[in-house]
Parts: sequence; C-alpha cells; structure tokens
Amino acid sequence: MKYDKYDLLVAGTGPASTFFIKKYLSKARASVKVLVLERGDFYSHADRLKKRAGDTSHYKKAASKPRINNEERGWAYTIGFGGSSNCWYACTPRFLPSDFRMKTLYGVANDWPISYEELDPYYTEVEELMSISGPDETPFPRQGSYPLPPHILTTVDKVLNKKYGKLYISQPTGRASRPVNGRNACCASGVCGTCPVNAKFTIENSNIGVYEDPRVEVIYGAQVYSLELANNVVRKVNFIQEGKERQAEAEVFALGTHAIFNPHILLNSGDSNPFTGKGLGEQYGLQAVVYLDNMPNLGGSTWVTANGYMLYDGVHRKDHAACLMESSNSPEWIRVESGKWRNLISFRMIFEDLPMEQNFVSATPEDLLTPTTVFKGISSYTERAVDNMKIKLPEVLSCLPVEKIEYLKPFGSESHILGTTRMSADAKDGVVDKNLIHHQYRNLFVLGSGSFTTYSPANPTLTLSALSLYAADHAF
Amino acid sequence: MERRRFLKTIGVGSAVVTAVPVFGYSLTSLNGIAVSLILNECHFLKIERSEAEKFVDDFYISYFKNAAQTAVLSYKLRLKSYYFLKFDSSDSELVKELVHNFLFSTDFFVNRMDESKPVKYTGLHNPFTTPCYNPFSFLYYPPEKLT
Repeated sequence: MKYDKYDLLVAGTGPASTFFIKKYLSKARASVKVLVLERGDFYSHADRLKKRAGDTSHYKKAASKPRINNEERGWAYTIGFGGSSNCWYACTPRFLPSDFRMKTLYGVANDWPISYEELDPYYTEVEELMSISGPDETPFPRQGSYPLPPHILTTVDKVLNKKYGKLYISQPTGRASRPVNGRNACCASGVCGTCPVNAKFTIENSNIGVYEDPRVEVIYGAQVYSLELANNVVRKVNFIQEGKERQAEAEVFALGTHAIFNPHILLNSGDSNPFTGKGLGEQYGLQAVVYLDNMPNLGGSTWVTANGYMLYDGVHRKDHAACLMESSNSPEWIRVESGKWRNLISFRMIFEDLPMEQNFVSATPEDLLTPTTVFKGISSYTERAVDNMKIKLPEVLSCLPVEKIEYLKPFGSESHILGTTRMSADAKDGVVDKNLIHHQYRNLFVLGSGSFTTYSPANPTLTLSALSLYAADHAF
Repeated sequence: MERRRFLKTIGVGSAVVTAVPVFGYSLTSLNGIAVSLILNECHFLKIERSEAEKFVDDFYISYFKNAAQTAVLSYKLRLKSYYFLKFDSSDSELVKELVHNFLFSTDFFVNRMDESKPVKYTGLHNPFTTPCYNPFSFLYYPPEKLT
C-alpha cells in the first residue's frame, strides 16, 4: 500500500464498485486517495479466450471460485478483475417503474426507497457508458435513443413484435450491435460468458478510465473478510493477502464483493442488523421450447434477440409473480427432424421471487473466509406464476403456428444473487438506505444487487450499476 | 429328474440372457456406439460412416482432454446404456449434445440444410476458435433476403 490512510476504500472491481468509483472520481478533488482491494487476479479476456479455445493459461488456478458452504444453487460469478462482467451475458433491460412499488401497487413485499424516476438519469448514464444497443420503443419510460441501434429480430420475433409492439422488443443489451469503443459487433456466437469477438461490455474493455486514474491504487489477491467497527463507524478493513493478515484504513468504505460475500463480511464484523444476510434470492427460470409448424426461426443478430413482457406486469402480481420472456437465438436450438431444422423458438421464462427468511447467508464458525448459504426454495408466489404461465403461454403465442410447447427442467440458478443487504427507508425494514449507506455505519456503502428490495425478473446488472452512480452522486 | 433338468435349463438360459448383453456392453467401443447413435439419429441424411467416425475420433480426444478418469467412465457408462436402451436425442441430453456437435462440425448448415447433399465432416466445431458460426443468424440469413 502506498499510504497509511485513504479517502475511499473499495472491496471488489465488478460493475457495482467500478461505477461507484467512476462517479466518486468525477466529483472528488485531484488529491484524493482511493484504495481498491480485489480478491482475484487480473485475468485478461485474451487469457480467458485462450483457455476456452483449448490452450493452457497460467491464470487457471487464480481464477477458480472460492468455497461457499452448502452451495446448493451453484451460484454463478467470477472472482478477479472486473468481477462478473467477465461471465455475464450482458442483458440490460431496465426494471419497470412498478418493480419499485410492489407494496403500494400489489400489496407484496416492500416498496424500494428509491423510485424509477429518480434512477432514470443514472440508467441513461450507464447505458451510455456501456454503449447499450436497444430499440426506441420500450415498455419502460425512456428518453431518446439507445447509444447503438437495436439488434435484428428473428423471423418469429418479428411476428410477435408486430402483435405486441413495445411489449415484445429487441433486447437492450451490452452485446454491441455495431463496433464501438474498442469492442467488435456481436455476431451471435452464442457463448457470451467469454465473448469470442469481444463484443460485450466488460470492466476490462470499458475504457471508462477508472483504474487508470492516478488517484486509484489496486491491490490484487486481497480478500477482505471483516471490518473493524467502533462507535457506529468503520475504521479499517481486515484482509488476507498471500496468506498474511493485513489491515487498511480509510475515511469511507464501500463493499462491492457481491450478495453472498458482502453480508458475510458484515456478519464477520459483528453487524447485528436483523436483515443482514437474510432473503438470499434470485429469479427462477425454465426453458419453454415451442415447436412451430412450417415456420423457420432465422436471422437474429445476437444471442438473446428479444424480451417479451406479455406476462410481466399487471394486477396478477397481487397473486403471482411477473414473468419476463427471453427469446434465444442460440445455435443449440435445432430439431433433428427432416425439413424442420429450425422450426422452433426457445424462450427462457424468468420469474421474479420474493425475499424469504428461510434463505440466507451466515457466518461460518471458526472460518472467517467461507460463507455459509442456506437456500430452501422459491416462494409460492413464484410457483403460482409458473403454473399460470403454462396456462397462458399458448394464448400469448396464438399468432404463431404452434405444434407443441415443451417445458424443460428449471435451471439450477439464474446466476443473479440478490437481496442479502436490502435497501429500505429505515433500519426496521432493511440494511442500507437509498444511497446504499448502511443504516448504522454511516461511512459504509454496501453496493450491488444485495441491495435490491424486491426481485424483479429483469436482469440486475444495469440496475445495480445505476444505483452505484446514484449513490456516489448523492453522497459526495 | 424332470424338475432338475428344467431348473438347469432355466438357469443356463438366464445366464445367457444376462451375459450376452453384458459381454456386448463391455466389448462395444464407445466410438462405435457414438457413430451408430449419430447415423441412427440422422438416418434421413446422406452421411458416410467414415465421416461420422472422423468426427467421433476428434470429438472424444477433445472432450476427454482434461477430464478426470471418473468423469470419462461415467460418460462411457451413460452413453452405452442409452445406446442399448435405444434412447434418442429427445430422451437424452448426452445423445443430443453428440448429434448437435456432429452436425455443427459438418457442412450441413453451410449448405442451408440441404438434405439431398452428402454431409461432410469439416473439422471439430469450437465457437471460440471459429466465432460467428451461428448458421441461423443474420450473417447466413440477412434481413433483406428474409422479407
């Protein structure tokens, strides 16, 4: 470390941390000192690609995932510089305004302490920074055009778009539709985890100047495991680097490690907020394969070509969850039947869920480095939505020549870890306030999707990034 | 005496019924089974056995490159079982994966799924070394040609 004390200390280098630092730097004086502790290594896109192509990479070991006790769900994330921007598929729909007002509108769970309207300019800012491709007409309010034109819909998507208009749109995405900012255009390879043509947005290819800023110092291989708390203030972080225990001191701290590790650090530190670690959740998803009679599904220009909102919002959310449809253009979806090779469309049906006490993160006695997770299952609110979807989908798709619909086994995980440090108006309902500041420790930000009050079916990264910009803009 | 002969016959018969499939099961090669599964699934296409054999040889070298012995054994047991149980790609993800990989490693989709043309193996498909190979995408079906 260059200094004994820093103005800001951030744990993690994923989107939540990076957009937070980005906004902070834009407002801070030239002499501020920022320390970033990254648990993993700098494992470049080129190296990831080499490994995927079958070559060996000396970073293989460093990139492996750390242990989590009882990891039944197989939570997906990446440790290392850029965090889960390295493994995400760059789907960036905004939430709907109603997602922030579930209690008021539908009597379900809680309202967020922040509104869609307050977040709107920060959504726009992230979309600019990520060079998002998307359509002019969307089901959520949005001013102006996306930075890049939308991806091309498939032949079947076009029929649905014609029928449903802005309820069935080309998916807003960080998979570029045109070459931009050092990235190439997406060409629908269908393996976005490590994009073979570097088309999707990652922190590594972001070119937003955060980690190149001379005010920022990054230390790799540094696992933060607890905070030193005194008089409702965070004084230091405790971390392990190369097997040695170390400490770092700062005025302000931000945890951006993700929704399992953030609460684990808080619990290790003695945080007694009853919501810390509680409500561990994510969306629930399954694939609906729709076989079509003499109608080929061709011509899309990216992996997920469209989002369908026909089963998403409405009074039904008083009884059962919203469902977001993703139209998959992956080459894997074929029919091995003479003359019918591409006569199908495959939808990922993604359902929101509710925070539940039974699902949580806890500290592990005598092992400060390993969180324990308990996930007992999804809510009946979500289960009813799955049943309802199976009744409604044939009607929704009635404009298509449907032969049959086949539902595949639900996915083990939607790869989105949510809700373990929920945002609330005050401490009796959650862990952090609308600026992502801990209700008790007022010099501590807890960033990321752990802050989500409720669990919209829309992908979380755009929203968590906008929340980071909002928090830094309002707090500094 | 009659009863003893009957029991002996039943015993030998049972042993034969059990032993022949087990013997066949253990002797039949994984590659041979994989080729048969592919040809069976794609019986309506013009595929020379040698094309499927070339693919299967390459596929398993790559597939098992860094796999643990237990994973290899488990794969072999499962694929052989599916073969003897006459599973097809609608019953088994493993069979589907094999058949899909084969088709994507041939010129079939490049030839616009023309079932009258012989299908030729063109090299093992890897999306990371051959990106943009989505034969249903806008690169293969530009919008102006679809409308």
